[in-house]
Parts: sequence; C-alpha cells; structure tokens
Amino acid sequence: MKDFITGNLEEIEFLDRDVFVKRLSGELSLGAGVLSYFSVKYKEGIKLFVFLLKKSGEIEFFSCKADSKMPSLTPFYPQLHLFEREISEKTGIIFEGHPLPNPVRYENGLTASSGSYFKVQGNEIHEVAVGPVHAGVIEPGHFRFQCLGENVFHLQIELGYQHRGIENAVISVDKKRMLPMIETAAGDTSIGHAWTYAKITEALCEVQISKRASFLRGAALELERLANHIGDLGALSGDVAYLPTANFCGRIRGEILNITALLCGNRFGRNFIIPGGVEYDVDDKLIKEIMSRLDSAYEDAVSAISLLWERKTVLDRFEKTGIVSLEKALKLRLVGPAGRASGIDCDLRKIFKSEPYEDFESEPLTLNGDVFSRAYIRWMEIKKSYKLIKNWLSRLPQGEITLEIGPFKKNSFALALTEGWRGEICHVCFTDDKGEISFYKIKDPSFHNWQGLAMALRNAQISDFPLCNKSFNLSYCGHDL
Amino acid sequence: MENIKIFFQILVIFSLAPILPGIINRVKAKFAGRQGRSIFQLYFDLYKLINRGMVYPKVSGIIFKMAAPSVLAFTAASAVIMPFGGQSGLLSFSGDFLLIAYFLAFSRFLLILSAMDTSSAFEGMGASREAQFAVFAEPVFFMSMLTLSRITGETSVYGIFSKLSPDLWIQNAPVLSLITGSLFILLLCESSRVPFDDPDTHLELTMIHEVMILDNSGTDLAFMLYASYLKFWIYASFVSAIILPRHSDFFFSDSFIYMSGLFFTSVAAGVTESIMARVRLLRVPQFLLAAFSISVMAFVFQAVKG
Amino acid sequence: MIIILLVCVLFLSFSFLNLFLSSYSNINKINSFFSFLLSAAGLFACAAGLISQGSFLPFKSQFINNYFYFDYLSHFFLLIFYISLSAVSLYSAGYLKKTEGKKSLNFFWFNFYLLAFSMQAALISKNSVLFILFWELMAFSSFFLVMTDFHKKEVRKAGFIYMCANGAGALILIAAFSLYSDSYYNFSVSSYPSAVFFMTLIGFGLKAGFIPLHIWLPEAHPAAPGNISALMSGMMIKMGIYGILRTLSLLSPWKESWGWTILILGSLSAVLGIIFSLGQKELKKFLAYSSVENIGIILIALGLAILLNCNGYYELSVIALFASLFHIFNHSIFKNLLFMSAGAIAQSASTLIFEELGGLSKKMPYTAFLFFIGASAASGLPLFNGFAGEFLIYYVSFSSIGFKSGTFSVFAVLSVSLTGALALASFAKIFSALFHGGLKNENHSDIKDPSLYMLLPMGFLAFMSLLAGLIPYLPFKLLFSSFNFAFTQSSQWISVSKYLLMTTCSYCALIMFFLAFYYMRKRISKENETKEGITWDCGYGTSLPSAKYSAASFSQPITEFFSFDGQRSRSYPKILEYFPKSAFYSGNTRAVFYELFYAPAAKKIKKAASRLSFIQSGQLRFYILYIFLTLAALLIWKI
Repeated sequence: MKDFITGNLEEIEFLDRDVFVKRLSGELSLGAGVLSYFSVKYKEGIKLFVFLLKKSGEIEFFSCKADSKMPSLTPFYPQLHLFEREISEKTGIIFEGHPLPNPVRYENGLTASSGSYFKVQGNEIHEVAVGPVHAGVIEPGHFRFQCLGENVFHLQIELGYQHRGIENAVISVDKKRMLPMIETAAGDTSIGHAWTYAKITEALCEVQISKRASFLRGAALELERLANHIGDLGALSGDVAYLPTANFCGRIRGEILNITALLCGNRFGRNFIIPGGVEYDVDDKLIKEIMSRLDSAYEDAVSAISLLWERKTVLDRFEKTGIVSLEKALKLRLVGPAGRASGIDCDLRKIFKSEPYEDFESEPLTLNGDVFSRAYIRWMEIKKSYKLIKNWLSRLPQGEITLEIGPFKKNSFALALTEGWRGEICHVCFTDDKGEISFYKIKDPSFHNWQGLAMALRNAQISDFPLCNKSFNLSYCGHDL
Repeated sequence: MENIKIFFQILVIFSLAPILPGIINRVKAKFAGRQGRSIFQLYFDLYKLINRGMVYPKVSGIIFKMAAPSVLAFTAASAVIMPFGGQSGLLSFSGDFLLIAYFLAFSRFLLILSAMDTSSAFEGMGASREAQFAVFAEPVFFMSMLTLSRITGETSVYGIFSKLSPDLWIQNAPVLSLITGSLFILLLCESSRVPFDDPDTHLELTMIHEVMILDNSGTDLAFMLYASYLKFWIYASFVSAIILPRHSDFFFSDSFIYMSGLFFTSVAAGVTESIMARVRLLRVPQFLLAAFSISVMAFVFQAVKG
Repeated sequence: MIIILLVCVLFLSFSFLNLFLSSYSNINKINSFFSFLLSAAGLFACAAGLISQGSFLPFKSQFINNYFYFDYLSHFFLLIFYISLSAVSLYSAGYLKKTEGKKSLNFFWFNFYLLAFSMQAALISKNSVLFILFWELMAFSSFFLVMTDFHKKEVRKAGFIYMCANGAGALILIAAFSLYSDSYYNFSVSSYPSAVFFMTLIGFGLKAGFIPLHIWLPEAHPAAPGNISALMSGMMIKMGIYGILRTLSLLSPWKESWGWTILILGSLSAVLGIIFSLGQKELKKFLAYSSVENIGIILIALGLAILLNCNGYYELSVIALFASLFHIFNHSIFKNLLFMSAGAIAQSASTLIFEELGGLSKKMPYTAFLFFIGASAASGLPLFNGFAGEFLIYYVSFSSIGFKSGTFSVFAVLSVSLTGALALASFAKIFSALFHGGLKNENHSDIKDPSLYMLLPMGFLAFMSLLAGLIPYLPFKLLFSSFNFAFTQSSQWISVSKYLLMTTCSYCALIMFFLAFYYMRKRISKENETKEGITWDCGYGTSLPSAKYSAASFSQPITEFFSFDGQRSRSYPKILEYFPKSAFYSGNTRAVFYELFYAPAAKKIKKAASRLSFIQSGQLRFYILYIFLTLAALLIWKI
C-alpha cells in the first residue's frame, strides 16, 4: 500500500459541524487513529480537516467549517487533546469540555509559566517544577510534578520553548529553502522529515522515484534509526550509572553517524534526500566501506548492549518502571517504539509495506510498557535495521538517483507518512490554484507521545523520572516546531 | 618529635584528601577506555571555586550562610581524630569514634537544614534522602565498631588500629573480612558513590549529596566539596586500616603502607562504580540492611568464638 | 531542708489563697513571680544541698525522718523540679497574657500551686500512704490544668484518657504498696520483690509514659496550655522514673529479668517513640512522642545499670545509673525549652500544624535560635547536652562489650544509635518546616518574637544546655559526686571524667576549626562580591511557593518504610483520569497503640461490664441484700 495520499481539494468531504463531530467520534470509537487534525484559515472562515488511519490501513479524511465554539472530544478520545489545543491556540476556537485548555506552543511572548496547572489539593503535597533549563545539555521543557515525598501523583508537561514558527516560515520562503528548513524541524530526525517532505512533493508532481533511490533512502533512514537507538541505550545505561554500556554506545553512535556522513557528507543526513530521489550516489567501493564499518560497529554494539540484559542491577532498574499499559497507550495513541513497547502494533513500515519495505516483517513481542520494554524494543529494531541496510546495499538495483520534479498539481492536497525512529511522521500539504504551496502541516511523532510520558509517571517514584524520560526520548523541538 | 609527627599527619590529611576522589575518577575513565582527568584535577577545581564570589538565595537565612564553614569544621574535627599510619590522631581517647560518628552526624544535620533553607524542591528531596539513608547507615557503623572493639579489646580508634595485625587476621579472618565488607559498603553510602548515588549525574531528581549543595557557590561550594573529600578519607581510613594493618615502628614506612591502603580502597571504589549500576532508591534501605546483617553476623561469629 | 519544707507549705497555702482572691488583672503576673521566687529559693537550697558535702544528714526530728526522705535521690529530682518550675513560672507571666482578663485564672493558679506542692511533697514522702495522697493530688491538679480549654472536644477526650491512665496507675500502685513489709506502710523492703517491682513498673510507667503505657502522653501534652505541657514533659513524667528508681533502691538484690524488661521496654519506647513522632503533623504531639523516646533512652540506661549490677560489674553499673540520671537532667532542660518555644509559636501564630507554618526564622529570630539549640540537643548532637547522656550510655556499653554476658550492650548501642539517627531526621524535618523557606501563610506577616518573660527562661535553659553540652564534666561532677564520695576515687569515675574532659578538648578543636574556616572565607570573599539571587528555579521565571518541600514529604520515605500495614500508602490519591479535574490528599496519623489495642479493648471491657449492669438494679432491697452478704462474708472470714 502506498504511505501517502493525494488528490484534489474538492475530494475532501465537507461536512456539517455536527455531522463532522459525530463522524469523527464514530471513527475513533471503531479504533481509528488520528494522523492529523488541524485548522486552515480561509477568507470565509476557518475550516477543520482531519485525517484518520483506520484499523484496516485505509486513510480517511473529511472536513467541516468551524464555529467559534466546538464540542471537545478529548474527554472521550484522549488522543485528540493536543490537536484540539493546537487548533484553539491558532484560531481562538474554544473546545467546550476540554479538560486542559492550555496553549501548546505559547506563542506571542508567552511561556509555559502562563499555563494552568493541575494541582493536588492538600498542604502536604508539594510541587516540583523542573525546567525549562535542565542541568544537562538537553532541550528546554517544563515538567510539573505533584509529589508526596518520593511518590509522584501527577505529571504535567508544558513545552513551547523551542517554537520557531517553521510551519509558517516554510510556506513564505523560496522553494529552495523549504527542505533545509523542514530538516530542522527535529534535528535528529532530519532524514525522516526530509523523506516525508520528498514523498509529498513527489505525490504532488506524480513522480515515481527509482528503486535505487528508494533503497538508498531506506538505508539512510535505517542508519538514522540505528544511531539514535544505540545512543538511547547508552544514555539509558548512563542514567542508571552503568558505565560500560554508556561509554561504548556513545562511541558506537558516533561511528554510525560517520557512516551516514560517508553517504552524504553530513553526519545527520542533511541534504541527502531531496524531492525526486537522493542527492548523492554510491559506488561499489563506498558500499564495501560502509558495510565493513557497519559490521564492526554492529559487533561492538552487540557486545556492549548484551551486557545490559545480563546485569541484574540494571534490569532491576528497568523492569516495572514507568509502565504505560496497553489500554492507556491505545487511548493516547502512542506511536513508534514507545507504542510498540506497550503492545500496540503501529509500525508504519509493516502496515503499508511501501517501497523499499516490501518484505518488512517483525516478530511480535509481548511487552508490558515499562522502561525495559522500551529499551528492548530498541534493541530489536537495531538488529532489524542492520539486516535491512545490509540487504539493500548488497542488492542495490541500477537506476537514476534523481528525477526531475515538475510543477505541483493545482488545488490539491497531499499527506505523507514515514516511520521515523521515534514513530509516525506525518506531513500534510495544500496547494493553491497557482500550484504554490499554500499550507504545510508538520507532525512529529513526539506530538502523540508526550502525554504517554506524563502517564508513565503516575504513582511512580520521582527518581525514576529521568529514566522514563530517556526511555521515551521525545523531541522537544519536534513538538514545538 | 611527636608534635612534628602530628603536624605532619594533619598536613598530609588535609592536603591529600582531594586526591582520593581523583583516583576514583581516573579508574572509572580507564574502565571506559578513556584517558580521563588527571588525579590532581580536583585541586584545580577547588582553587577555581574558592576565588569566586558567592550568591545567596533571597529566602535563605543565617543557617544557609553559616552552613559551609560549620560543615567543614565538623568534618575537619573528625578527621584529626583519625589515626594516621601508626600514629594516633591529634586527639585520641576512649570512645573517640563516637565523636567521629556524631560530628559527622551534626555536619549532616547542618547540611540538611541548609538544603531545606533554600525552599527548593530539589534540595528538599536530597535532604530527605540523606536523612533516610543515615537512619540505616548509623547502625552499620556502630555494629562494625562494636565488633572491632570486641575483637581488639580497645575502645578508641587508635587503640583498635594498633591492635589490628596480620596475626589478628589469621585468627579472625571471617570476622574481619565481613567487617571490611560492611565498612566498604558504608564508605560507598556515606560518600555518595554508586550504587547509592551517582556523583557524575546531571539529573537533579536523582541526586542526593550533589543536590543539597546546588545553591552553594564560590567559596562555600569549595568548602562543601572539600568536606565531602575529607569524609571519604575518614571512611576509607577504616577500610585501609583493616586490610593493611601496619606493623613496624618506623613512622614513614607505616605511613606509606597506610597511604597505599587508602590508594587501594579508592581503586576498589572506582572499580565498583564502573561495574555496578545505581540501585533504585527504594532498595537502598534494603542494601544497607544487608550491610547491617553482615556486621551482625561478624559480631555473632566473634561472640561465639569467645 | 528547712527551706524545702517551707517552700512546700507556702505553695500549698498560696494555692488556697488563689481560690479566694477575686480576679485581678495582674493576678497572672503576681502569681508567676511568687511561684518563680519560691522555686528559685528551692533551687538554691537543693543545689547547695547536692554540691556540698555531708548534706544528707538525718534530721534531728525523728518524726520528719520517719515520714520524709531527704536523700540523694530526692534532692536530685527536686533540683530538676525546681529548675523546670522556675523556668515555667517566669514563662507563664508572658504566656498567659493573652488570656488575662478574658477568663478567670484563679482556678488555673490554684491548680498550678497545688500541682507544684504535690510534686515536691511526693518527692520527699517516705510513707506510701502519704505518697499516694500526694500522687493523686498531683493527678487531679494536673487534670484540671490540662482541661483549661475544656470547650474543645479534643481537650476533653485527652483529659478523659489522662484520667483513666492516672486512675489505673494509682490503683496498681496502691496494690503494690500494700506488699511492703513495714507496718506503717513506709517504703521499705518487701517479701515479694518481683511482684512489687513489676506492679510499680506498670503503675509508675503509666505516669512515665513508656510504650505501651504511653497513650495518654500524645493526647494530654498537646491539649494542655503551653506552660503546662512544658512542666508535664519536663518534670511530671520524671516522677514516674523517680518512683521506679525509689522502688529499685529498696528492693535490694536486683534480678536480671528486671533489667532485661526495662532494657527492652526502653528500646521499644525509644525506637517506636521516634518513629511515631516522624509521622506527626503538629508540633506539640511531635514533642510528646519525642518525650516517649527520651524516656526510652533513660530506661535503656537504667536497664543497663541493673544488668551490669546483676553480673557483678558494680562500678560500671553506677556509671550507667549516672547516665540515666544525667539524661533525665538534660532531657528536662531541653524539653522545657522546646515546649516553651512551641508555646511561643502557638501564641504568635495561633497554629502549630507544620504545613501551615513556615519561614518563621525571619520574623522570630530569637525563638528560631533557641529552638535550634533545643532541637540539636534533642537529636543528641554533640556540643549540646543531649549528647552527653547518650555518650555515657555508649561508654558503658562499649566497656562491657567484651564481657561474657555482653549481649545487652549490643542491644543498647543499636537502639540508641538508631534512635539518634531517626531523631536527627525528625528534628531536621520540623526545624525546616517551621523556620525555613518563605512565609507560607500571609496572616503570619505581623508575628514577632515573644515577650521577655518568655524569652528569658528559654534563653536560660538554652544557655544551660550549651554549657552542659560543651563542658559535660562540670554538671557530671556537680550532680553525681555527692552520690557517694568514695566512688569518686574509683577507676571508673576517673576514666569517665577523663573521657568527658577529652570531649571538651575536641569541642575546642572544633570551634577553632570553625573560626579558622569562617575567617578564611571572610578574607577570601572580601575581594569578591557576595550577591543575592533566587533559589535555582530552572529558569522558570515565576516563583512557586508550593515548591517548598513539605514536612510530610520530607519524612515520607522513612514513614513509608516503617509503616507495617501499608495503610499509609492506601490513602494516596489514585488519579485515574487522563486529565484530572481535582484530587485531594490529607495524611492520616493514627495513634497505633490506641487504635489497635486500647480502644478495642476498652470497647470489649465496656461490653462485658454492661452485662453486669444488672447489679445496679436501682431497687433498694437488692442493695440491702448486697450489704448483708458482704457483712456475712467478712464475718465468716474473720472467724
């Protein structure tokens, strides 16, 4: 199946407000997941668009005209909560019944200190406010805990410190600057976002890239996945002060990044994936170099990471910490490794099996959503990515690596999905009647998962928070855009 | 001559205290395959800090301002009671280890109060954990001291150390090795090392000792850090005296043996830090109770022997 | 001695005088001053008696010798009594200011003087009937004093429990005293030493307040007004210990089982007392449990003394006894100080709940300073007097560790060290909750330090605490050399004295270090500027007063570890919604022994007793029948 859809803007069903709400809640109650739910400002008013991924793998979409007051569906379908808040922030529409109507990105000079925070009443409860400035070199975000001693009763996360206005900037600049800007949406997922953007442009131009280009794209994405997962496992062991794995994984991640640099000259894969294909080609010599480096890095990773699963003290820290149950994960629609660790089958590579993942298979695992599960699933994915890269690079077909991109279709829309290393990346794009991009919506997988982290800390110990945070490893800037 | 020796001792203790954590850091780095910081790095850090100005939080009161010199004073007073080499400390009398334990307890009390004085949730968390660990660590210390006192028949630290000898090891090997084990665990706990606390972490929510001095700065911070180095020296001396009991009457060779004992203890602490992960905070009391049971077992063995 | 008797009589007469005076507005001050003067006179007489040699000569009057004690034990406890009383009297001048003119204080002072009289008289009574008379008088007068605020429900409940404890104790004591062999029921030897011992242990234990007989303490102390709680905790519970000591001094060959009982009860009280105090939400209840803990330490030392004596180590046993007495002296000083500070805070801020207070150190600096001294002394930290008593206990234990029967010293050491660490945690918790951080309650912005009447006695007690702590040899010699002058030549005494002097040397070294570091810092920071900033808030920008670590949170890890049935964690709020609207938590602190044991037992007894209520049928003929049956039985028995 294709992991993108495109069509004329007229094809999007335009419903009445109440019918829209009813249809949306109907689909969600049947188990659909929201891919994107956003507002677009027109001269006539504000239109709401929603794109859903049904259980069957079909993508459904419809829209309506928004009133100034809309009924909130968050109390029934918590997966919508940030989307509704985002629409509220951008347009001023009030979603009646929304339990936490804070802004998402605190634009216009506001910061998270102006949000409203849930507080447990009782003068023995104290609050712990962490951030935005953290003690390590990590991104800014505000975490508000309600605690009694070491027990956490509730965690609320408010971000927005890294809001750069990418979505607006992207449509107002020259087309040549769009790709570099989108790559910075979340710097460690550059390849994921770039590929999604490329899929959108190729859909809007109706261009089919060559198999060689799609294999190379796949290799780059999997290298990104490898680097980040290895780095995450090293960081997790660093958080429990298990130094052997922490030290080795740091170095190995560097090796993988260097391999990416071999492909395109940039350690994070910038400017590798471009609309129409990839920028740089590989020859046999380069492939051999990459394979040998990859083999040695993988071997080192195996020996370093296997230590983790043998150490009882490490397992004692990881197991039964920060549990997110399957029910909660489904309700919140967690994506990526975090969702899979709680038991949701949400790998887009498996659902769509689009190029180059036609033969993608993954073993089902029974995991219970604790830190150990999220760490172990990363380990499974590391092994899988390694096999995939070796597979592709060893049978790279011939072909053109870049194809010409023509003009975009007029008055059309396109949605593209990619399984980045954090999870489901979704971009939506509208074009106007001149064929120029009039609207671009970026959704990073962290947008779904931050609330999962908040739920993982319920009735947990506050000293386990850094471990849970690292086990999710969500993007602050991907959320803030 | 005696006075010169005592003066020399005090000089050595105070000047060499920052080397021991430096040795630990170096060992950890070597395990990680890195070169690591120089073992004299902490001296440079202290020098840098001492010459900086201090910033006091507005909500804090006089306790916060007076805490740093007081904490250091208590730790220094404990340090001069410790014997060095084969010599007794500046003060040595029957029951002096009680003063060591309680001076360190008072410095802990002041540290907790100064941490709570800042009205910060992080420091409060660290203070609460420190108070909690002390509850389980004190009995370990006293039990070990009781056992050592019973074996050697002495009640002062110097007396105990002077009676320890390789012959005593031959007679009481199981007891003394158990005591060494429990004192080593106590060393790790009191100096906030893995598996009780991670001294290299940057995560405030998991820190214990480091977060209690979060709002100290400049000279105050230098004092607090130096006090923690002295504390490590004090507990390491216990372990060192047991594993390498000195025996000759030459001051310099005894001192050399004693300092190599300290060196080995630091290396052992570094190795433990490199291979063990940090224990969940809920499990720390259990860990300390395990150390306590080890020392109780040692006492029982000793009592049964007669 | 004459002076003491005179003081006694004067107290008695003043009490009655108060009943007949109309309520002047100055009555509070006049009474306080008289009480202060009388107790100061008694203090001097006592101190002179203790210090000088040959002061315990028997009286020329045989009558007095038959019925009154004027020996070392009485003098020692009278000394403590006069110290407490003089401090509390002066303190009352300031404390009761708020109630002056509002309600009649005549009854209060009547009971106060009566209480003072009865305590002194009990301490010098040789005759058990007189003793019980004064004991009951003490119980009644203190009951009325506790019930000063009788319009509050919790005060009435506290008074009721207190009365029950008093009554039960008195009954058991009467039974015990009947077993003495003297025909006039003077205190003397007995043919049933163990029975007497255990009965008096329970009877006096109900007054001393060790576990499991302590349930009235945490109720009565918070309910009573500040100065009365100080007096009760500082002196009255020691009357129980006096009783036990007096009994021990009469029952000559001590048995090991007695020693073990006291040692185990003491250890239980010490450890459990401080664990209970950790979970408390209110200051006075906290201090009440802390008193239970200290009584435990006193009993541990006493138990050690008995066990050492039974095993033949007489000199060490005497030292252990001194440790116990020393701790009684020290505890009285710092507990009075702490309760007086609590009263000062209650007067200014009208609340004693930890979570409602905070940041008082800026508004009440003197009280904060004095409270710090009291708290450090109570935690048994060096430089203050609480440490000196514990030090002696350690000394005795470590000296006896090598003995064949040395298991009791291990027990003692472990209990005292565990208690010390827990006490450190709990006093750190309350000191920070009360005095640190910003002002939690805006209503408190106009509070200030209490009046000089209250500060002076607190300051005096703090000074004594510091003095006794810095130079423990001084009070040790002054208090104990008159016990037995021959003993002061023994090797143990000399070794203990040396020990205490060396502690003072260490303190000198400590103070020198502190001054050195302080001046070093001052010199270095002269060249650099010292700035004021905010506490690290992670760059959030807005201050968050609720971020201050609450007192309950501070002690949560320890209380959760020691909570034996998980009841605490079951009361935590379980938030189930994804985006909750509201949640509430309030910790429950229950009196474990009362709720799990005494209250259900009382219910059962009440139920059983109600089955017997048929006896009180209300019909005269049955009562006449009962009288007839009793007379018949007595007749048969006598024939």
